[in-house]
Amino acid sequence: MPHPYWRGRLISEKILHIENLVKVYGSGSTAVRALDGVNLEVHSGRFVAVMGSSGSGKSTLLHMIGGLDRPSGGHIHIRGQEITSLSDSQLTLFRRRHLGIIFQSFNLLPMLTAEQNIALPLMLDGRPKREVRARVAELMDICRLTHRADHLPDALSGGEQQRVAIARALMNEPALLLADEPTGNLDSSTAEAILAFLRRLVSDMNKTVVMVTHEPKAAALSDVLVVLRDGCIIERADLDGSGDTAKVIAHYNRDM
Amino acid sequence: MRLFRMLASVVLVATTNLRARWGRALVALIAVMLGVALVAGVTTGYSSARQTILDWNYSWVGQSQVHIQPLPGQTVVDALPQKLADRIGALPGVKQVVTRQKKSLTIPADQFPQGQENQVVDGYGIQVGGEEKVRPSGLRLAAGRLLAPDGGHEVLIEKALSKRLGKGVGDELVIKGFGSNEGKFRIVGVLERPRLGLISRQDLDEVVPDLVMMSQKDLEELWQGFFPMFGPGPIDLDSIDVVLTAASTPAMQEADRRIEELADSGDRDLRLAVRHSQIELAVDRLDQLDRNMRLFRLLSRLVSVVALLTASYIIFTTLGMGMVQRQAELGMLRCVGAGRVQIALSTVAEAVPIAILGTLLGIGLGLGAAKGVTVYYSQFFTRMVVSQQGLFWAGVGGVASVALAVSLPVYLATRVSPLAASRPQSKAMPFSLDLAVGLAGLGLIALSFWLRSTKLPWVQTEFQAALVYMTVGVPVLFLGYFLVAPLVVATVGRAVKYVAALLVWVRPQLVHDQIQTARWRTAATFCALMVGISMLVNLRVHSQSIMKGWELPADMPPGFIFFYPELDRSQLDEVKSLPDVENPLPMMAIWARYRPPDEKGDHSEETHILAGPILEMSKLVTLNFQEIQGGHDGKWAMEEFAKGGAIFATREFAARYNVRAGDVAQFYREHNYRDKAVGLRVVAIVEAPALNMAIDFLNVRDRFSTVASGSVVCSIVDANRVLLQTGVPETQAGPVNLTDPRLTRMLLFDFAKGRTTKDVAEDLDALNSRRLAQGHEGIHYYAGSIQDLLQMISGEFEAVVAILQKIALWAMALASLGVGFAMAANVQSRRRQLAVLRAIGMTRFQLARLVLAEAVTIALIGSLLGIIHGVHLAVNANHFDKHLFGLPTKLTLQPQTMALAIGFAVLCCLVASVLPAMRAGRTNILAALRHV
Repeated sequence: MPHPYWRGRLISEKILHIENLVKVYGSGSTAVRALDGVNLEVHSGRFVAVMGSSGSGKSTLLHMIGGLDRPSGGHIHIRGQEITSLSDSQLTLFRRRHLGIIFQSFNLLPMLTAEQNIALPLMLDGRPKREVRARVAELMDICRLTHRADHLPDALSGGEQQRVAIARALMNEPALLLADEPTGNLDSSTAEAILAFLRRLVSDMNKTVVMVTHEPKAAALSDVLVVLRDGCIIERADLDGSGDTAKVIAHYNRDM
Repeated sequence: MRLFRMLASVVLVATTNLRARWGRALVALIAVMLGVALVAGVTTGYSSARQTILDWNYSWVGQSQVHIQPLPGQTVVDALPQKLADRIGALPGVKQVVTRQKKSLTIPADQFPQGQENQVVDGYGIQVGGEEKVRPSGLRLAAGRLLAPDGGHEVLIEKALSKRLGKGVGDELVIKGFGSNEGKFRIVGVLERPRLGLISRQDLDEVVPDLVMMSQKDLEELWQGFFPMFGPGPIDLDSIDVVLTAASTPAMQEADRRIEELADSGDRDLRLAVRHSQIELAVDRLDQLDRNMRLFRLLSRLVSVVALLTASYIIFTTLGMGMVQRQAELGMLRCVGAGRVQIALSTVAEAVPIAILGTLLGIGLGLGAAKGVTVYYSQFFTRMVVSQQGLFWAGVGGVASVALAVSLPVYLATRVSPLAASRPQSKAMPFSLDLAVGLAGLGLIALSFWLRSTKLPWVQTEFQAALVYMTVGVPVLFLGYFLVAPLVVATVGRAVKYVAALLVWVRPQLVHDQIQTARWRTAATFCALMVGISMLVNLRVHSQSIMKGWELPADMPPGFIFFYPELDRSQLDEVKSLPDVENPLPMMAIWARYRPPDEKGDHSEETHILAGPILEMSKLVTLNFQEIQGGHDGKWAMEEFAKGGAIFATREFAARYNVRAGDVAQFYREHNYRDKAVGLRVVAIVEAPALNMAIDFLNVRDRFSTVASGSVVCSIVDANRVLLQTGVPETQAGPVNLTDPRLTRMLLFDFAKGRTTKDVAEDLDALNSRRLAQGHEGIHYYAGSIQDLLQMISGEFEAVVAILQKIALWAMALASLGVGFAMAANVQSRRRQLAVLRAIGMTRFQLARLVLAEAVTIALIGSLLGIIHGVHLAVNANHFDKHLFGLPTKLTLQPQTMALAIGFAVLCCLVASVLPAMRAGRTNILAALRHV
């Protein structure tokens, strides 16, 4: 048996392939190139951290990958599917079935219980109730939320809310999990727990995660560090996911 | 199955959202409920009022298929012979004939508890057993029972008379008939007399005597000896009601034809009876009733449309606000794979229970309120009648108003980008969009103008045009103003914020920020307010315009006496010679129907005819000549008028029937005299702003049952020819004496020096005592001064306007609910911003004032647009008044009206914003700053 860390990497598959991605906001003299020819490849079972200063384009990159926004140019392939050419409804379906997205502000539906929030993607897909229940139970167990199943988001702590958001993102067994500063609204100990959880998802469950963060400590748990500046990738470094913050800071500072 | 599960997930989101945000749902629910309640209540009120009038009519003319009564003034006794009833009863298709006798009776003064004078009452001799069938609403018992078939000397008396007498069921009552005839009767029942609210006015009570009912045999005994040559026996009939075996329209027309044929049977009595009677068919009565109820129908349509539009605006505001609040949630749903259709369905699913529950509750509330009104004002409503059509439209209207209100929020919801999950901030709409939408709104306002002024191909009459306008034109107009609203906020809002900021003492920039960045939200909020204000302004401006439109001539005689029934020549002479009456001026006001030359269109609307000496006419109305026959001058026209056979027609009448000066206009009153219509030459077309109104208010008896299309002016003799219809009554030989006014209904006069209405009334009472002592009937009169008349008119207008204003205030109260919710949502969505303001030193009171300043801004813009909108509606109402009812109007804008509208709007908004303002003041800085 390989060490859990290596599980999945042995049969690595190209999950994300970005070619010359460009995003321009506005036009004419006021045009801003948020992304300027980004190229990136991410294989399955990898934990990619995207760092950069404010306005560098890291969130824009994540939105493009998640199909939340349309690029001005270039291509994005997720598991071989080119998503920039998909129609709105096709993109919706693609998100529903192949992507999981986690936000800094959790974005849980306040009127639904934790269990209902988690079940939402499969419910929207019209999956049978039994299948949904089984999947929700499994994820609640993994995310240690079973005792909070019937609670509304307001009654949950920040960490629990983010775990519900992660469980919801995992519900459809996504090819790619996108996380936009998932620890930005959490205190340090809760943030650590969430990051460790994401790390375990990659290591133990062979999930692929692309996480935008500005915290070196968070990025230190990733396998790959991507640094953006002015919409361009200026650094791509392989890390070992060991949590060595110094290494991340070194890579980041060198290019900044 | 999968599709069903997908829908179920959407419903789950919608229902949990409804439960979680119950406050918003409640506001929308209340809006729908009140809107639908108003529609259900108004339509039920309309049906109940219609039924009341129907009952009122039936109580007099019977519920039979054919009703026959003598034409007034045709014969000496105004009665029909029993022979006619017998012959009609033998006609094929006739199931039953019910007859009724009517005579004046006297109740001696000693029958009253406190020495009152003898009282003249209308005594009806009824056919026991038959009367109940044809006139059930005329025999509503307040106490006791109806007359027994085998009972003698039993009497039914009216409730009001019972009170005055202090006598009830079981008591004895002495009644005097002709000469010394007298009978002792036992009161077996007390009758409720159905009256429409307006008809129950005090002045009419004085004109229409109380009634007593007894068997025909008893009445015959009391009137025994009136015709000594005939000896004892049946007296003539007041009316004949015919019940047919088939109640269809053809059967009624066939019966009508057969009855008219009786005139050719060779029997002189029958010929005279038929010639001198009016035969009225139930179908025509209903037709006329519907014509008379037009104003009510139009008003109920307008109120219903406005109520539903107000509800629609509020639902739109609350749901639209929900969309703004829930942008992040909707974005999140899109992120996790919810499609646009699913998002749309989720929003619709939220509205469906609101629509269904609100509509059901609204219908219940409306019916309950209508029931309450009919029970509380039982003297005005005989019973509550639920209008199935009204309920249908209330239901459809409730659902449609929710559908209309929800359409834009649904669209907005589907346009929410998944990006909103991480960037939920709403961007201000570009000014270019405001401009484009504003121009579209102006286009709709122009379309509404077009709808009002253009006769659509499928519209036949002015009334249909008015109904179409109320149903389509008014919503188009409202929608137009709604679309213009954001542009008004973008432009006028910049100036208004300074006023609002000054009023509540905050920095204008802070107010400006919110109003300008959320222009559409602000517009949606004040549109609901605008509806209420526009109704309020419309009602006041419209009523003031009507009052202003009727200006009395300066030399109008200050006193008038109205007579019912009309006076003959000798009676008039007696009244003219009263000591306190000077310069008497006899006038008539009657109605008749115009017969078009092409004979098409069976029944035209009734036309008011004012009759009097031409030289004196200017004292009552101001006539401006517009067109004179052959291009002659006004002097020639007046000379022709005085010669007789000539009329002046108002511009409205000429336009309605396409009549020109020089044409001969044919008039008739009852359809069986259609062939004998009286032709009168139109010598001039006049503009007489006060004419319709003058006639309407002088013609007390017909005023509530007649809706006219224009008016004409003629001499009293010509009016009598129309009234008598046959031109030359067969009971008189020779041609009509054109100088002899036979029937006069109205006398204008100057008071003798120092004398008042009371003195003239005393003179008339003294005259009546003399007449009664001589064995003549008394004169029924109503004496008053022009001042009384003016007060009566303004009082009545004010009463109607007050009722409608209450509806407008209801709309305003409804609107303030929306404003309150909008302000609360504003505060909620700006918690962070408010916390920042607190953090940098703004006090709680300052924060609260900031919210209030926004409310005042909304009120000021809303009232500004509401005033413009209200004046616009009033212009439309004036247009329909003129074209539909011939009422003169003059647009009158009073500063007090505008001030009232603004003041009330500000008050509403301030009251509605107090709670949100207090909540803003209590904003917890740390909690709000933590909250994203």
